[in-house]
Order: sequence, then structure tokens, then C-alpha cells
Amino acid sequence: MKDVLELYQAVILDHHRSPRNSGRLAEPTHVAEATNPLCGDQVVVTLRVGQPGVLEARCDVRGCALCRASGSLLTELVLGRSLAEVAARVERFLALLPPRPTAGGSDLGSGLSASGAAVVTLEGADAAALGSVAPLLQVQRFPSRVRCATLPWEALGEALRHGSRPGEDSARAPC
Amino acid sequence: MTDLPPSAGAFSAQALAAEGSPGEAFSAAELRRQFPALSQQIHGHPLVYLDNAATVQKPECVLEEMWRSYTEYCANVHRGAHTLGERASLAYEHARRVVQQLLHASSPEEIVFVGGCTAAINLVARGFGDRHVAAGDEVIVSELEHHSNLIPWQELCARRGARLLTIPLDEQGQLQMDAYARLLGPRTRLVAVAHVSNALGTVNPIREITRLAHDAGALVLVDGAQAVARCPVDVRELGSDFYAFSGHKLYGPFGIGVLYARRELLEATAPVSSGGGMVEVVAAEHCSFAPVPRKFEAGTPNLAGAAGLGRAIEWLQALGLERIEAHERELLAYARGRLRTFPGVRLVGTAERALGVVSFVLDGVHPHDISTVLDQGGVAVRAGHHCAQPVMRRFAVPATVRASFAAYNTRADVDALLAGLAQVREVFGP
Repeated sequence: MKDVLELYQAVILDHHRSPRNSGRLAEPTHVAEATNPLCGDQVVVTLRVGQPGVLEARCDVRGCALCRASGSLLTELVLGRSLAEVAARVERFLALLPPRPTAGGSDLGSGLSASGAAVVTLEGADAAALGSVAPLLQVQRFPSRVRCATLPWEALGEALRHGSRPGEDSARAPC
Repeated sequence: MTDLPPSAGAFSAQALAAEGSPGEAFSAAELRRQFPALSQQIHGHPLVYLDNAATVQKPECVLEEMWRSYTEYCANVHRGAHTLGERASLAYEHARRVVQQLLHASSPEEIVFVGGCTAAINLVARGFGDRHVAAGDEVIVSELEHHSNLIPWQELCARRGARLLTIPLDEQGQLQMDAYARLLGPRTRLVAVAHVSNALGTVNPIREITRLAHDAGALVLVDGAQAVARCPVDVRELGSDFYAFSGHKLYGPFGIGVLYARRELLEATAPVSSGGGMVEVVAAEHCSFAPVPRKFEAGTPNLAGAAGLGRAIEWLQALGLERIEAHERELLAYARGRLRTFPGVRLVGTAERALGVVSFVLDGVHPHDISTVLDQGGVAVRAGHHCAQPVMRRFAVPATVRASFAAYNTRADVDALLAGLAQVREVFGP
């Protein structure tokens, strides 16, 4: 149970129970949706961007505890930052949690687990940029759950790329 | 961080110790020794495998038969005149007769080997549907179908300009038969329904479904993926015109499945794959197809798959499908009873006639999170929409936790699931 308690550590459960900046902005400058068709999780990210950067951020999550906590932590991370800073953080976070090497993306079964493997720890610039969301990286030990943590970040990435144009679903249902 | 009770780490250990719990038709605990995969430890706990609706573990005899197919009779079926070729052809056709007996089909020619249940349904949708369903015709499915018995019909209707109609579910997850009777009409060509629901466990009243369909002049395809390993199936008695299933859910290998159809229907079905082995006379510009079922089996047959499937069926029959059905009914009743007493659990699907599957949600905890915590204790369940999104919509849940049973499961496995749920509560709070 040690791994699972590190995954669902206090900060994750806190953000799951009381997600910050939850919901959607009425008049966003940036909006995007991401869905995981394998499980039905759905995330909508809305931003209001002005000077000097992200003035408001909301994340609307229909999904599991990891997805909710991830969306909540994400909104806190981006508030007040410039779009370039946000984009760099999204790119780095997604690089730290690459999807499983399958054609259809992640699945929910209890497949070959990376349990016991060391979780990449943040160092240097990463620690400064992503320190507040570091607990999410525990999901590396649960390959079938990685996408639960990355879904809000995928949506945010889409929002940055496409501005206020609603994003396409991130993938087609494979089954 | 939550402190766990000291005993919690071993909550699945009792699973292997259970011998013949009350009401069991046979010793499932004894049976599980035949399954190499079940002796594994997962995260330091004995595996409690409750994802049998996804795939069933394989007994040693099936694995040995597949090994033999590669070591004693590895040759191309129906091609070689040498000894290995003869053995391969005999083994392949023996497997076909074993399937025929399992389904009580009239002849082995009514058994087509395909890649799986999905391939079987697609063969009917393309090979039969494209020929016999016209613009304005109607195809009926139910709200509880697996996507594999839904999408091929959506696609067929789109290709042919036909209408797809859906039999709705009631609150318990049972087909509303009065609504079904009203859907049937002079334009109904095909009705496609599951024998047993993969998401809810509901056993559909197939005899009644086929009787009403036949009265309306329609044919019926039954998706038997969740039924064939859980209860006796007699396609003639059921009145099922087409019956499809997969080998891997029947204690057999992946990559092999079966389409049964009455001979005249197979003859009225076009092959969807063509090439070697499915022809008789081939000239430069045309050919004549081989008789059924070989006209559907182009290319080198899956010998290891068929041999393993045949062996799995023989193993299943020796055990007795009536006994397995009784065992799984008892286990499902026990699981439902125990889950109902767990605070915050809501069963999704409570059909009176059900088999093998219990789906549920737990207040305040998402099924994925439940599945991850259960897995840490060695308990394997499925969390998600089970490739049955219309069912999830019907019950207004994004996903469920699904525990599904096989002959080797015991009451102790259900107890391990409940102990795991108690751990979920420890992690996530009340």
C-alpha cells in the first residue's frame, strides 16, 4: 500500500476534495476541452489572459481524484504567469509524464506496473518551475493512470495553441 | 498519510485457503491450481482475479495443447499431404466439431472460425447485412450492447440507409420487452442482442426475443461472448440464427472466435476476406468459392487458436456447464449481498436473471481510484465504461467498477474485494 499512499498523498486528496478554481469562466479568452475516451474523463480549461498574463484560470473536471487534483494544481500554477511561462511548464510537465507506448493511449487495467521504480525527482529549473505540482509525478509508478494526471495539461496546451476556439476531442474512442 | 490496519496488507491471503464454500457446486479452490496465472503474487499479495468478463485465465491443459500444436503438429491446415499436415488438419476440424457440440449446432459446417467475437459480428454485418438489408429497412439492437455489437450495426445502417432502433433498459438493467415488441415491424431485418451483458450481467430472454423476431420475419444475432463459458448454450433451442463468441473468454486463447449460423444463412453470406484456402477453382480472372464454412476462412487458419479453443471447451464440458452456472449464480448472489451492505455502494444493474458480472459505484470515489487501490492489494477488477457507453448514460454514471467471475473464483475472492473496498475508504475517507 506504500505506493498507493504516496500516489494519494495529502496534497492530492486535498485538491481532489476541494478543487481550486473549479468550473468555467463565462467569458474566457482561451478555452479547450480534452477527453479520455477510454474512461470518459473530461476536462475543460478556461483562461482569461491579459496584462501581465493569466488573470483567471478555471478547470472543470469530470473524472477521478488524480484528474481533479491535477486540474486544481494546474490552475494555481498558471495564475499570474505569462503565456510563454505557462507554455514552457505545460511542455515540461507532459515531457516528464510521457504516455504509455501503446497505439491507443493509456488504459485502465492493472497492466504491467512500474511499481517500485524510482519516480523522477525534480531538479534545478524543473524544481523551481513545477515544484508545486511535484506530487502528481508519483503517477509514474502507475502507467495506466498517467493520462488521468496529464489530461488537464493537454487541455491547457490546446487552449494555448488555439485561443478561444474550442478544441477537438483529444482522441477517438478505440473500443 | 493514512494509517492502515496491520491486517489489511494481507486481505487477499484467505482467497487461496477457501475450500468448498457453502453452496458451491464444485471446489473452485481446487480448480484454480490448474491455472498457472492464478498463483502469482501482485504487489506482494496473492492475485484475486475478478476481471473475467474482460478475459478469463487459461488452464494448463489449454496451454499444453497450444504448445503441442507448435511442437507435434505445426503445419498448414488443409494444405500438406505429409504427416504433420494431416495432424494439423485433423486437429483443426476436431476443434470445429467440439464447438458444434458445445453450441448444439446441426453440423460442423455451421461453425466458422474467425479472429474473435467482434470479427464474427462484423462478418455478419458486412457479409450478410450488406446483401440483405436495404434502404428503409430496420435493425434492432439493445441499450446494453457492448460496442462490438453496436458499431457494426451503426455502420451497416449508414452504408445501407437503414434505421437502427434500440430496445431500452428498465431501472434494473433489463430489456423492456414490451418496447421491443413495439419496435418489431415489417421492415425489421435483424435483431442483434447480447446473451449476457458484459457491463451489467443481465441475462437476456433470448428465446422470447427470437420468437418475437421470427414472428415479425426478422433474424436474430446473439452476442454470446459473456455466456458461452457460463451456461449451457443450445442455438437451436434458443432460436438464434447467428451466434458469436470469442475463445479467450472461454478459457481459450486470444485471436480465435466463432461465428455460428444456420447453413442456409451462411450460404447467403458473402465472404469479407478472400484469398488462399477459400476457393475451389481459380482461373486468371474469376474463381469459385469453397463451400461453407471454408469460404469464410481465407488465409492460413489459426491452428493453435482452434486447438486451444477445442481443448478449453472439452475441459469446460468435463467440468460441466450446469455446475459452472450454478456456481457463478451463487457467487453473484453472494457478491451482490455483500456489496449492498457496504456503506455508499450502489449496484448498477440488478436484473433478476444475471450471471457472472456485478457493476457498482461507490459514493465520492471514482472507479479508477478504486481500481488502483484494489490492485495494490492484488485484487484485479475493471473500472471504466466497459465498452458500453450507452449503458453508462442510461444509469447516469461516467464509469463503474466491475467485478466478474469465473469457475475458479470463490467467496473468499468476494471477501477480498470487500476488504479492498474498506481500504479504499481508509485512503479516501468516509
